[in-house]
Amino acid sequence: MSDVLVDIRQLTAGFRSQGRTLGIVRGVDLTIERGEVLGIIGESGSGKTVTGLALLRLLPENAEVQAERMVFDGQDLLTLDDDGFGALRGARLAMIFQDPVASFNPAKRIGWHLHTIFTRADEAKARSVATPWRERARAILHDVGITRAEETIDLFPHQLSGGMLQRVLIALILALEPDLIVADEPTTNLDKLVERQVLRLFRDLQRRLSAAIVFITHDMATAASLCDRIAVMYAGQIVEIGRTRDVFEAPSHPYTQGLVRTSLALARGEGGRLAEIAGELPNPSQLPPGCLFEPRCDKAFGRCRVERPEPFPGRHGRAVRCFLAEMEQEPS
Amino acid sequence: MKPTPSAALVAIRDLSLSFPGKPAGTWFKALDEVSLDIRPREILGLVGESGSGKTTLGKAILRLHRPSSGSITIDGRDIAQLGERQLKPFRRDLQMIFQDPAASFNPRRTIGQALSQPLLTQRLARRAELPERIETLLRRVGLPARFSSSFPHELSGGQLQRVAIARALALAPALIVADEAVSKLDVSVRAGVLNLFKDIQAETGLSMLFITHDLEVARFLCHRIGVLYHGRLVEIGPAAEVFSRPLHPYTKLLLGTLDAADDDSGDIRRMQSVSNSGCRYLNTCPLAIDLCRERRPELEALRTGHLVACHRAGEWAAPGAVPRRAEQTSA
Repeated sequence: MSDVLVDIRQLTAGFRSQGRTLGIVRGVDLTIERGEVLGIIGESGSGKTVTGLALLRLLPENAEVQAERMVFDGQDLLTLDDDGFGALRGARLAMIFQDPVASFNPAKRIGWHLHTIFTRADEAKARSVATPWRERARAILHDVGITRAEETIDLFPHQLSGGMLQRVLIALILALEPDLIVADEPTTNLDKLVERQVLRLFRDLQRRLSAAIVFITHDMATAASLCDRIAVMYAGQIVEIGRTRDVFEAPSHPYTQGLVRTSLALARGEGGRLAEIAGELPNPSQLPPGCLFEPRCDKAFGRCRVERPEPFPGRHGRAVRCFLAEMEQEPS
Repeated sequence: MKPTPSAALVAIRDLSLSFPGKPAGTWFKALDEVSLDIRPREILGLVGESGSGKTTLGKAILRLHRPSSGSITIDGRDIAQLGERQLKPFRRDLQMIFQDPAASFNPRRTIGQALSQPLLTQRLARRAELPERIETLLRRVGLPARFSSSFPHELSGGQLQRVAIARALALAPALIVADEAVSKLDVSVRAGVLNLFKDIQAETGLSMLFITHDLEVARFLCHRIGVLYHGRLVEIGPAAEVFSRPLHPYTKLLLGTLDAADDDSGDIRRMQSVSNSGCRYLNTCPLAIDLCRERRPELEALRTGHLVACHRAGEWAAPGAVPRRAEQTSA
């Protein structure tokens, strides 16, 4: 059995609107290993969420998704029909959204949600469990740090705070025991103390289930504290990918360098001014002819304006879409 | 050292604000006798978890809420209980910037119209002067003049937040309350907006109340920091002091979230319910003693300009002092 759980080649995704298709994801290659936490970092509009949704086939009707290859645990996702995909999604693939409230049925109690997931997980794993569901619910809520588990089972979602709901959601995922979890900004709406607690739960989750986690965030510090590897997305492409330490200690792409510089300046409490990345993401209907980051890049030169860089491979699975990285690597 | 002039621009004393709670007939104390000064030319940061009362305090100062009791003194006048008509002259001096720039603008009016409105309402510009005034404002926040004819949806979140800053600046206010003004912005954009806040404060000399749950942002931007815990101001002092030598156990817990090595602060079992008598933090506090149960601690200055509401803080306020755990003292 190989260690690769997900293998994606040349994923593109866009939305049809007024007779044309606006590209959002432009050729993403990604392998995710069993049990690893992969962070996807990028600003809004960079395509990080759409990549996650495409992977779980959760994009709306007007989306167009294409890929050369999309394999999950040896199974070809491109040829899998919707029923087959639905079965996979309910049992082996799971998604956590930024807003936990929307993930719950507002008319049902927390206990109902847990009971439903227990039933589904037991069916998927073809097992029967003798322990009464209430007892299982209590135990699993306790695992995510909910001290009043017995009370919580009988509450409705609106009676819990955002942090508590995000914890219950993690409890539901623990109960489901999936192989892959895509978490889209799950801590962005939480304040720092609660965020810290939820991140810790994610670490527990990953250890206990040995599930792979794709953690989508715009926050460098959050990604650094949790992820084994980091992929930085810009304008629908992965501009840099590598081990978290490598990316943080020696960011190679000028965009990553800017993000790391700001993040470190804030973390170290430096005074003065922060380094800015001037400008905005390019409009998807008017892309620059060369490198997509070129208009905002303070290191751009002639070639960057006319030619689009391909991922340039480095050590330990590093890949960087930048001509400079390529030139620095080549022996002169 | 950052300058810290002492006379207050806004003096807040014993400010309380309660909302109707559940069950009906009970009251939820969002603010519980909060006292603090906002000084001229300073950025005062207000930190705390969601539900700590940060936003309520900001809105009370702008009189978007009417306080239950206490005073808010500006220019020698207490505005805490003034009616809408009496408040109008103060409105110009007090401006607000909200978290979500997209929700702060009328989607059907251009940026130019949005910026003209406050100038016309307060009779600060004639119509003929507007184009020039708007261009100056947009330039001031680093945006091109052509945005004047754009609609809000044509701008990115970062650009729109810059327009919100321009709109607040239009009236040359004495105080801007910024409520999580950079929280929704992307990292690459956030740096620019933070720099802008810093520049504008330094150039215009206005005061700012900067409400945030992001401690790193507060440390970068603010001269002083106030820490709120469930409606109580538990600590306030110079930013460098509060970050390097925090006095309140809750502030220490919050600051632990900045330290990647201190995994303990992420321990959910450490956060307990709020106490309704004595010190509000006592159920979570590892250092609580009987006195904390019996009497509510009030703010007192343990170092110059550094105030804390904690019965035990005196024990470790001196350099080199080490707190003893409760079980050791009560045994």
